Amino acid sequence: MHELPLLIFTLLVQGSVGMTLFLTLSARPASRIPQAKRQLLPVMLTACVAGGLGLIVSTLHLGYPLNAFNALRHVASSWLSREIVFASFYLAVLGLCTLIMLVKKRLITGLLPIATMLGLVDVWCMSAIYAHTSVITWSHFNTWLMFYGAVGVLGAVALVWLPMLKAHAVASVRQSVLRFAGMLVVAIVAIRLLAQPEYMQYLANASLSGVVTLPHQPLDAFLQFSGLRVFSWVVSVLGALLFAVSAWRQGRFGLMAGSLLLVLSEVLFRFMFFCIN
Amino acid sequence: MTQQYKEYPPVSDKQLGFFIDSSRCSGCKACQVACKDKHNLDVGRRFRRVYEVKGGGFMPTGQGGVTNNVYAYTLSISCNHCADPVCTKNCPTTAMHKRPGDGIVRVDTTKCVGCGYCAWSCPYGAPQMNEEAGQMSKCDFCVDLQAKGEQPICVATCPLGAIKFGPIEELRAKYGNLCDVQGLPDSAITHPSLVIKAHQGAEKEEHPHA
Repeated sequence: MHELPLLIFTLLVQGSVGMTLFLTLSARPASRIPQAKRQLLPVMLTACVAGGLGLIVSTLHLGYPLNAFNALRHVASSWLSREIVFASFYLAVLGLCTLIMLVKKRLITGLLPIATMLGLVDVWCMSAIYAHTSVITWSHFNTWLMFYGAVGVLGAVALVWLPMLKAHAVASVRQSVLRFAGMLVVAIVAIRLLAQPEYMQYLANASLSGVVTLPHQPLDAFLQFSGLRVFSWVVSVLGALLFAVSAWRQGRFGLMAGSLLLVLSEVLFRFMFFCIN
Repeated sequence: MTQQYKEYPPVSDKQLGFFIDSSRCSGCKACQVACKDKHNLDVGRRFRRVYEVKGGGFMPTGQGGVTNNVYAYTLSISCNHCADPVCTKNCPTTAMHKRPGDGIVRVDTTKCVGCGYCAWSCPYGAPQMNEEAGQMSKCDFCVDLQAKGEQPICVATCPLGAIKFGPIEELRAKYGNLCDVQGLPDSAITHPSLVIKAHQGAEKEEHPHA
């Protein structure tokens, strides 16, 4: 698949922003308990590595990476330039916060919300890159829903998989954050589903659908993957419900199984998103 | 290795454009082949492309017969060096740029990073990846030939005289303003420097109401 680097890049960066979002929610209560504070460091490092790795993988998409720095030249009108700028700012702030934590063992809680905001702006730019093209399946607000949805879903999964708020003293806070994550995941899947009829109607009436000069055939790919799409939605809905119920009842197995289903569905959705030929 | 990029001074002080007489085009693809040959393009890359557009159908008259509005015609399209080119707007490097004066849209390969965003953006399919160089490439209106006072190769080659070029305002004054025909995207997206004499059946249908 030609766009594999972009699939990995978008998911890694959005996952990183999701982790930073949940770090922000966990930072203040964790900062009061030394054990809980120490547990944040691996999560911060994972978020940094995911974001950094994503940026490195994105260069594999470039045909001539030696000119990569030129991609910052058109911030005035290109969403791609803007995306690179905000991704850099996001990683710089998150990296600074992680470095201080690593070296001085100090958690600067004020930096995490700034990193989250920069990350969310970056995801906006990332979505706008695709929405401002002639690729019919991308140029719709569904792109924003899928990308922001991945931030919430992958962040919630990171909360389960990584040692965030796992100290006894903050057990009640963890429970609240987990429940919030469960509700967030269900809300994301529900909003995405509610947008699907409008998205389908847009695809059916797209003004570019009869155009012979378009170099990509996204509608053909969209129809070709209709079975896989239904499967992905089923996996996503099941994963979200399992995750939310288990988050409420503190069911460890359900949380792990729900997380796996959610990650699988995000990868499948992203795979289909990038199939345009 | 980057492709060789050579700057040329403006070949006109007015926006240049193409006139395509689709009613005359036989679909021989001489323009496409000449362009490929002149630019030494590999398999898959075509700066000028000849599309076949077909549509319409048969309808019962209600009196035992059928009527039809079937059409099929060929349309020669390259870069339209648009007044509002979405490729230059979206290009993150400014490699894709619109020249002052003649308004020709070119790729500066000393800047291009080969991200392909211009190819996703252009509804006419003009920017195409040069796989060997890893950079984008496109119709440059044969600016090298024009600098020598010659015609673009597609114009010079067309055996039916169906492709003309010149300042777009002069082409519009002479041939009209039509550039929205069946098979092409809405001209409001990029404002192409293109005038078309439509083939029978090429006029756009009204979009059905929801």
